[in-house]
Amino acid sequence: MNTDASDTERHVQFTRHFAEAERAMKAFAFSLVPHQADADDVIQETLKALWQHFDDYDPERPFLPWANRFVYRQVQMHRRSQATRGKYFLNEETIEKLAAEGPASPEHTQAMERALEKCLQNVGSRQRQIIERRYASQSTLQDLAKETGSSPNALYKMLQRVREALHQCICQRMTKEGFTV
Amino acid sequence: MNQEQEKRLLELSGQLCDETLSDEGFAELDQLLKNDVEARALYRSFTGMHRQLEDGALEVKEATSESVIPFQKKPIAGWLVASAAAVVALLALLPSTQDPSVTPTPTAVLTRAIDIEWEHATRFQANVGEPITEQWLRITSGVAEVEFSSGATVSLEGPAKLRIDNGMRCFSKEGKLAANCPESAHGFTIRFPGGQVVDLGTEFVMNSKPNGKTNVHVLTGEVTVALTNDSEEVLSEQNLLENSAVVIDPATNRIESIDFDAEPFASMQRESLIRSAPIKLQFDIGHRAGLYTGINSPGHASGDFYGHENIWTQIVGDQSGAFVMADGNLCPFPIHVDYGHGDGAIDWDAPPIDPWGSMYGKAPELFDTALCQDHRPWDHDLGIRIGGLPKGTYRIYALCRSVRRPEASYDVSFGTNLNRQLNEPIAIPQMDPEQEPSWIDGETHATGVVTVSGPDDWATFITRYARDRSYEKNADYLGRSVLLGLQIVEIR
Repeated sequence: MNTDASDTERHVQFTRHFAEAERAMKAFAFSLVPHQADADDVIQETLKALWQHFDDYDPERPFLPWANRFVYRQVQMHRRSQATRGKYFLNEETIEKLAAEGPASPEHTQAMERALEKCLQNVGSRQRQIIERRYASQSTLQDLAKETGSSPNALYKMLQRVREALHQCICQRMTKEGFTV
Repeated sequence: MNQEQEKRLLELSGQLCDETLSDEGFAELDQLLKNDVEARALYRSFTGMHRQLEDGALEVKEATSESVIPFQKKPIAGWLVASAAAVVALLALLPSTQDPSVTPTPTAVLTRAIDIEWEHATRFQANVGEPITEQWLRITSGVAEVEFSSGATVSLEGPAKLRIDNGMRCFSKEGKLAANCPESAHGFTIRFPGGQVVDLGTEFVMNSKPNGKTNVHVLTGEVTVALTNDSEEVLSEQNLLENSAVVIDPATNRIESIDFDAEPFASMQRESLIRSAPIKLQFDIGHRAGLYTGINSPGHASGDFYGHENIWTQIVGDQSGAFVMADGNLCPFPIHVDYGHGDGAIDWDAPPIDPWGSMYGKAPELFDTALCQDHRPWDHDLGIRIGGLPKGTYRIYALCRSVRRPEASYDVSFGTNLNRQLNEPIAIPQMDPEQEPSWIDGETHATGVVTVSGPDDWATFITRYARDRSYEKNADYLGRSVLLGLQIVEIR
């Protein structure tokens, strides 16, 4: 490990930038590959690439857009590697467009978090049960289906309805706060 | 885009998030997104919401709902539902689906059974870790310890007959017992034939003999002893301070002072029970380790940990000193947890760092905790070692696989004072996702047995991501050594 003073300073700079941008970068990666493990891999690869190219970064300009270009590149690479394994993915062109319009600002991401938190408070108990099963517990909707005697298909439909309602609630709240959704 | 298209878009996005989207679905989603900026905005906000939910947006709520359980001593009361592990996952849902006041409060739990022989093959028994409500416990020999919902613990030595009435009350028909009552159990009452002891914040021992007489010796604090009639009315009573003792004789209706002598009860007092019990420790190491905690763990699945042993200690780096054991009692031995990493040889003094030499903690978002699946540098050996354990043999369960990477393989080693992997480490293969709900040794976790000759020895575990056996073979594809949790149990 190089412990040269300027290098150490560089580490600190980089870590600070990355810490600030990471949340938005993750959100961006996730919008392109909405699967946690995939998105994590993309971020991990991006991190490596960012560090390798950190010398090219112009500190006068914002870090996030620069970093997101690397995210996008990694997504495309990931997409190709998945495709060779026969995994389907969104079209390259579509991803490009999503990327071009996409990256949410940290403020936007935070506003969304706040909105989600509020909206979750207004979810009914049955709805909450389903959403918790899907997102906060290790057991699955299939387990819940068995316990409650409903079909998994019906539960998935219900999950989707809850998500749509949550999504609508979030959009309304964010619009009120002046964010475009 | 019209309402119908919008609904369809969200539906397909939902399927994508749930990984149930078919090839046709992908094509359709692609069509919807390709030429419609509004559709893309919707897609982004929907998947963004999904990500936040995946990322723990629900977690705050979970933590608060657990606090409704009316137990005072322990932070988590998972053992309330110990007999049905699956119900634990539902714990978080209870308040929303039913009125918490309707949930029955268990009275007590059997926390220890040492060399125990029950009087009857099926009746008057309890299982360690399982709740007890209003029932007789009758033992012919051995020592049983019961923890009441009030926090009071009572241990009895056979032959003994104890009836559990409620969280604050029991009846000792016969036998020796030792009671330890924290503040929360102030007023805890043990009745016996012809009398009762009411605790005033204390530790006391007593012996209800077959001849009808009962001795009470107070070790610390104060109790009120009383003579009662058949209707449980108090006939006479007196306070008894520490280091004093009385005998209560209902035949003569008298309470008489006797010499204080707690020695015959020494082995069944709380301190000695804790000291003599096998050491059981549970370390929660990673931010995703919550998936394993409580009683959903390999140690519980294999029967080494009981339902009431649900306490995990969070480890965030090298730690030493007093540790809480799985049952919530303080470990009687000082324990050292030492973390290290390295490429091959483990440097036990190495601080948790990122690949560029920065300490963890500067970027909490990225490096969630010092140890765990966000561990960097990648592809290095990750080690943890436990010192301070008394001479003995210990089984260690290591939760050493990324929960999100079934395709990853690992090499792991267990041993005493290891500084690198064994020549032939245990190979943890990729995980069969179908098997995810069950614990499979050597696949979902690793189990090893380590013998230490005393507190200076280190019980060591080392793991390393095995790139060559993992699904992704691309040389640039990075893997991580993972350690989410560790369970240690002394084997006797």
